[in-house]
Amino acid sequence: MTSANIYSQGFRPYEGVRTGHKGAAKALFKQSLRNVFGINRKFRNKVVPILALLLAYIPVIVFIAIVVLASNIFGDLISADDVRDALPSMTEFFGWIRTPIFLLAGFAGPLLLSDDRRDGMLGVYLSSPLTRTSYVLTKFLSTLTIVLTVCFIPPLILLVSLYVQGLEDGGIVGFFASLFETAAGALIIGGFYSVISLAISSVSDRKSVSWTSYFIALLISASVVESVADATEATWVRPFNFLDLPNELVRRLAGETGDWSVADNPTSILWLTWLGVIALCCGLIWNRYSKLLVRR
Amino acid sequence: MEPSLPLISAANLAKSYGSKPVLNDVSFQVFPGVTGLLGSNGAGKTTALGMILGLHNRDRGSLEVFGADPWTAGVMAREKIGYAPEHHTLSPTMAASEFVQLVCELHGLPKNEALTAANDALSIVGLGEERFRPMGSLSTGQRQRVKLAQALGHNPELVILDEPTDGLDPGQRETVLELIKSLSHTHKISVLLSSHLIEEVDEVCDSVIIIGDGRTLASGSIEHLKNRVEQSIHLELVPSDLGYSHFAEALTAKPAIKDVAIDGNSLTIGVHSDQAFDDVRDVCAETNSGIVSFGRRSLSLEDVFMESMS
Repeated sequence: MTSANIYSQGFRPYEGVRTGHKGAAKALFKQSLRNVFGINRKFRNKVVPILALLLAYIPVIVFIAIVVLASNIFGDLISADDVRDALPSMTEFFGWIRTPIFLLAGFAGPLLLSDDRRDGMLGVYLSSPLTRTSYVLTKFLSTLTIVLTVCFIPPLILLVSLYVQGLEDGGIVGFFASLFETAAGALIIGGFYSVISLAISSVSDRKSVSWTSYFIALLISASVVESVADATEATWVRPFNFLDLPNELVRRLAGETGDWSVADNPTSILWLTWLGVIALCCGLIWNRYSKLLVRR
Repeated sequence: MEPSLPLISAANLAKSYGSKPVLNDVSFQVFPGVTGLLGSNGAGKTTALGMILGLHNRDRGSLEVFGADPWTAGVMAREKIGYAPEHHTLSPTMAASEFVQLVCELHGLPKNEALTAANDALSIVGLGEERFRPMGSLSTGQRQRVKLAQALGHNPELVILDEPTDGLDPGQRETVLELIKSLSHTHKISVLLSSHLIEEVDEVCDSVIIIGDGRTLASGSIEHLKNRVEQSIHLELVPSDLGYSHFAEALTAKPAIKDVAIDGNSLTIGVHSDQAFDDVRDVCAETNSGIVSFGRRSLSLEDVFMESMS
């Protein structure tokens, strides 16, 4: 009897149906998520996303623990209203998780745009069925999805737990109304930071420069605007505090008022500023990528 | 004989970066097989490849890749093209296997098929366990292999290789060139090979496009181009103290002889026709010169290149 082993199967050319443009966009989307979360990368590539996830999910875990303990163990001692009052509202919860949202958006943009240009991966992507438009749109969707993992899922978990424990009224209609507010709030905040991060990253090929520019731009806008508003009482400048603008919009959407007076800063002006910043950033990205010379 | 349908057709392509013209009037066709794109550094080869891939638009001229304009309708064309860029950077944190699988998925292979294709392609280029290492930790030769693997993994109809042996040692270079030959001959994948190394193109290509000064200087099958270059005869005479000037004078008097270059006892004789062979024999007899060796000088692609550049 003779035996044989196959050591190489050779080249088996793929002859099946190709997934085309949509398949290419899907592959890029998945790759972008892997890249930012450091999947299949060394631990040092995972530090920032893990930190952002911890900062976003620890508060929700703590609040759920409060809900469960108060309802199930100390239910006889504490009323449901007291428990609810001890917990933040949905708009307040967005304030709790503002740091990880800000951090993760600022981390993702440079990793997804600056690195591709610097490493020559952009040329590899654009020599596939992807176009410049689909490349940029996919990168935006990837960034938004990444940011939504810290600005939509934690408040969603909190919302569901509140309804499950019967700490929120309104039944199914109330739940979906709250769900809509939560989703809208997540998109307002997440979309805003994502677009700013991508716009800044579209300018510099060095991700360290993009990171620094993003953090400095937002922090300086907040400190300068608040200093001017406090010193001159020109509170109308507050919409240019881009660090607080999206959270204030979310509060207005929920019918709440925050630190900004409605008289000095009408909601319409806040919306216009928010839209203006997004339009400006999209214009910058579009201008950059439509004229970008991909040499390699 | 060249097939009637070209994979790529370019006519009068022109491209400038700002006020600096890179391509002025480039026309060529690429047919199935291995085609070399030859030109000195800065001749515009990478710019031409970029236009073929739809990475940048042309200022004027026409270009069709698989029958479509790559700038306006390049999605379908690019699905059929594998591209290995010249640079070696790539994503330093991504494993080679992940990268090749990603490129396969980008070109339309479903996930599982992309994984299989990536493993096959990496095996073909000779990458073993290194495929699981981040690309930033691979040597230049290994990265060249990764680039080749990602270019051919998704079974393209055409593979575009930009300076694929750049940075390789002679052994690695020979392996890569053998691989390129096998792509066409064994796997029936056409190759467009951009290089500034004449011997490399001569070794693996069936056809060549020579560009210089932003123009197409020559294009066609290498054999055909070699035949177009002016023929010459190599003659080595028995060493003589009398010199060879009288011999050269006798030769240049013959109508079939164009010119004679003397280098020691070796003569390179430019000819107008094959009558020159008889003339050389006759002059040797008349001058009583002994012949060491005598024959048609074998032409290389370098001769074609130099002739084109002149």
